[in-house]
Amino acid sequence: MNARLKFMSHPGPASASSSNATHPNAELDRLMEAYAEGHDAAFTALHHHLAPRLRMFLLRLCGKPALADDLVQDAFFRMHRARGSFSKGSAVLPWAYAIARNACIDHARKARGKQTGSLDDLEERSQIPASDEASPDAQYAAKETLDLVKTTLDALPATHREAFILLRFEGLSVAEAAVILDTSEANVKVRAFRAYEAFRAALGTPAKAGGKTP
Amino acid sequence: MNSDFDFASLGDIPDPFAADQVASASAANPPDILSHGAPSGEPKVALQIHAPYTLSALGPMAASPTRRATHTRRLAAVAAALAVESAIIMFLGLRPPAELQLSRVMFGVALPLLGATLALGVVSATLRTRKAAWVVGAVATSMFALSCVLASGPGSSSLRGIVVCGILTIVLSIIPIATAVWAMRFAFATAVTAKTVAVGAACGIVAAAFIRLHCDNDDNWHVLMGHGAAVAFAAALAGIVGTRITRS
Repeated sequence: MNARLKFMSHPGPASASSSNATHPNAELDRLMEAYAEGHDAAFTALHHHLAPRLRMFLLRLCGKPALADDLVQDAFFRMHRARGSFSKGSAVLPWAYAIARNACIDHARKARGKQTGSLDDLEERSQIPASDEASPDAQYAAKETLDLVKTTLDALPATHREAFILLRFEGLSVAEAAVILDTSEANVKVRAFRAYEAFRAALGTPAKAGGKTP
Repeated sequence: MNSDFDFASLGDIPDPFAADQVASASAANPPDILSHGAPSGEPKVALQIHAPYTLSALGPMAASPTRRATHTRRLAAVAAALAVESAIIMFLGLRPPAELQLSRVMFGVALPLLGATLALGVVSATLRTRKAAWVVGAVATSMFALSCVLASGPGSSSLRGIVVCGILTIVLSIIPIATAVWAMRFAFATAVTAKTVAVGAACGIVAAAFIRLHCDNDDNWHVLMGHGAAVAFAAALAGIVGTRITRS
């Protein structure tokens, strides 16, 4: 079965919340068109729609809320700087994700060699929410699972993590993820599959049909 | 990977950051855009962001060109590069008029210039993937190689001639590269290296085309190795240095 079709039937949370079912991102594209042409008022609406998605993407990539907030600002500055180069008729979402990814990569390069972790970071990252209605045991189990997922996500190679986040959490198609990650669709599929395998091993869940490597 | 792997299975993995959706929703409050005295719709716009981190790191925001301003900037860059190249060739001296046959000008100069123009236009307008950028660069370079064959004529393939012409063409290629990279700064979010290398190769081809108006050696090897050196040089220079400027 076509992987894109499968994702369309299983969208991520961001795309699921969209109001336009046929072209969920058409409004975003229209706003970006206007913004690139110099209509500054479009920026407010564009930011309103894009900022939460980019923040979640960057948060899942870097794992630190404060850093994700800074990177969102950086990404929007880059988008503002490059709006004149936005190709007419292009989709804004892959472009915005690619710019956000570049901001994250640049930050990681700058931070390389420096000690970036702190007690605050650890505290930030250990804040696992749990439902008030759940029993303490269920809350503890949920917290453990999420901790495990977070740890596994951190341990993944960056390329696998990016592919997995884009497909699983951001609800993008394989083709869109391939453009953002600057690689082939087949490579995106392999990276996401490897990430899934790592999660499956970490969580101890059995493989689904067709999920085993040959 | 098994080809029938159901990617919907990825949905089985819980989202450890699901609770942060609320915080992300509050991030939707947009930063202010101030037009700094310019009427609405003017390209000179500055973005003010309230995060102390960003403000301290970036200082006053630079103006952001709109699409029209970007196109104008690119056209100006092309015009400037062509004007400077022409001036340098006029300074060096045109080859004897008797050797400037129409067919030689058409195939030796116009054909590679056409390839370079196509490459620059396509790369700056529509390309999304790395593979496409490589293809565009390869097509432009092939058009240059084809021009060597179609406009071949008498000449020598001495090493000295190749080296002298190679150095001259490389020097000539620096202006187009500089203007092209300036005009395309922050332009590429994806496939940055491939696109910038394609732009660099196009700039090298421009220099290689112009040098044919000066160099009267039409030997295949001379043109391919001597003049073609600029194509390789420009592509490498753009790939190494230019990517830092063209990346957004």
